[in-house]
Amino acid sequence: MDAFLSSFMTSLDPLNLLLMAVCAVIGVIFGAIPGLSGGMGMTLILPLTFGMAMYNGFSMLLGMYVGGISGSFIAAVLVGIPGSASSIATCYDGYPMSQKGQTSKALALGIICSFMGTFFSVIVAMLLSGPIADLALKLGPWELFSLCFCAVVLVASLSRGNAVKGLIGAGIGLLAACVGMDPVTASLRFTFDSVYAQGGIDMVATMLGIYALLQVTADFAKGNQKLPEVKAKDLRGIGVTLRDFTSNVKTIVVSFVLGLWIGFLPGMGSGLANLVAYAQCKSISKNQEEWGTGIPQGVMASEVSNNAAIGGALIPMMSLGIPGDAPTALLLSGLIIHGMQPGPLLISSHPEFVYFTFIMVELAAIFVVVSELLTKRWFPFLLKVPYHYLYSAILVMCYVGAYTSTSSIFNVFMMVFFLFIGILFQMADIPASPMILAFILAENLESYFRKGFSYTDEGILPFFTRPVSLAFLLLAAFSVFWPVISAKMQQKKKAKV
Amino acid sequence: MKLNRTQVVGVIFLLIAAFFAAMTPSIHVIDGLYEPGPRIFPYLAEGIIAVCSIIMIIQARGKEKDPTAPESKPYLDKAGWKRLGLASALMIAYAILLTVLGFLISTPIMTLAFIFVLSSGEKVNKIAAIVITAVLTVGIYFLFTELFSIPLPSGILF
Repeated sequence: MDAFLSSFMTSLDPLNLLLMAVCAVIGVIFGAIPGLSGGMGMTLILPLTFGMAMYNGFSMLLGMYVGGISGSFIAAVLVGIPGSASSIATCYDGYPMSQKGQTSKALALGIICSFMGTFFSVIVAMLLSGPIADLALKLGPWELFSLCFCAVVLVASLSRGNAVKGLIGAGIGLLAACVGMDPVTASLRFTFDSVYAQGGIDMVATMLGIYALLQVTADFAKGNQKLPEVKAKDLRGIGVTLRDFTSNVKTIVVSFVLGLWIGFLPGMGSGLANLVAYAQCKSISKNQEEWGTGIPQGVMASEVSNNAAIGGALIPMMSLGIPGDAPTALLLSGLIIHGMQPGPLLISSHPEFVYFTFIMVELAAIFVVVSELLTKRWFPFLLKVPYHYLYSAILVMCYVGAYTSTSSIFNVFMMVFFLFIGILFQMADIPASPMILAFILAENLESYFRKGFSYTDEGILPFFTRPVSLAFLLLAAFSVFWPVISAKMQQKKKAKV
Repeated sequence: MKLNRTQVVGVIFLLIAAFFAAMTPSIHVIDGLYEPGPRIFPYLAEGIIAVCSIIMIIQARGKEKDPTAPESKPYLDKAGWKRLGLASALMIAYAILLTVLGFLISTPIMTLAFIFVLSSGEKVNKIAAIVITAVLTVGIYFLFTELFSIPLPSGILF
């Protein structure tokens, strides 16, 4: 309780609140503009946080995280283009609502549902993270290896429906993480006699290259730099009534639970949550034929679920040191830079930091809902920012970020190298998230694996004979082979019919 | 045999895996280890990349003729490749200029270059471009070097 109160007071520090508020506003803008995202904003400001006190830095990152996911519905409603992958399903009903003249209502639903998803999911995260971490503390290196392995394989096999491509991404992430000193015996690997490579490839440079630089370069190459004109008018007032929510409790609860669960699964986050929740809520709805024509339930399902994924993603990050999505991966790297060790011990060794994170996300959610409701009428202006100015500024920030991350120009070249890896990924439709997750977890994966051998003289056997470890490995194998088995079963069914 | 875009990427990753696999035996292993040693993870990563790349190449066979498959459309058209080449050249140029000239000289040059190139022929307000460039350069410089005491590249010439 003392830790909670002390964290609460820290989060109310005026400087922390100010930094959170400024970054939440920037996050909403980044979330609103198609092509940008809160995650990209976090990548850009991460290097800035290195020189700050930890709580100041995390206030910025958390504000950007919450603002970015919340703001992504704006373009989805106004022009029918999702601000980021987390609001793809919002377009299905948000834009038709806008075309029917209900823009104000659609925006208000997006704002309030985003708040509900974030606020309540973080309460669940606060309640569940401790018990899960306690369970994880009982695990040995065998189970922890299998858990991390399972997380990487789950992301690889589920992220875009093609396990093979996901696994290539994971393999590249593992190989990239091998550069530098190995985590157990400090042998040098693939350094090619470069002093700079001995420290390994930097996480910030990798993410800047494969997300931010790639986004700008690919958008320019594909010519995707213009948005349709916004025709919405009369955006004053709140636009919704309490009845809009009380009459749709089932949609809100189902999408909340789905968002929380999908956010909890490693690496998937809000990008998948909104699509699954939309489909599920539609399938259990009595008025299925109206979905997609501009009904409030469609916006609610998508926006509650994608924001509920925030709380879901924070649970494995805090309790296990496994990121639930790309932004939590950035939070983890921020943690590491500030000298903390993510994992099951984090909650017991730094409870004040863990509570601070939860409280700050809640405060960010409250700030975002109030500020969005008050400024709703100006949302169309967000989509008029000229891309060539914005992207140029982002590019400069990328280079500065890559350099300042380790004060080495080597990192800048690594960022450009990962831009080219990202282009190859896009050419073959290989998802980037398995690569990032594998890259982050590689060090733990390897040390758990090798420690598992050192602790007994039974070699690889304990990984398969210890029940929890076996269960995670079987789940990983199942996630890879299930699509193949299910396709074969469907073929057989069709043949019988 | 003409390869489609997924197969080309598969071949590139296969070659990358082969290259690193050839380098892996040179990793020094301490004598008398009771665990698999520092070569096990590189081999694991190379194995995953190689096997999955081969499967991806096989899976993508003939996909360019299937109109529902992404391989049926090129990743970029000819003009798109030119734009990609131009953007990539700018990215490399900025990295080199940062190394040689440092932040304060290379950033204004490259910001202006980015603004004019990324405008894709659209009219650019020259005054706005110069103001944005100046504010961005000076703002970032003071934010990092003065406020946070984080050094920015000073270049090898100075």
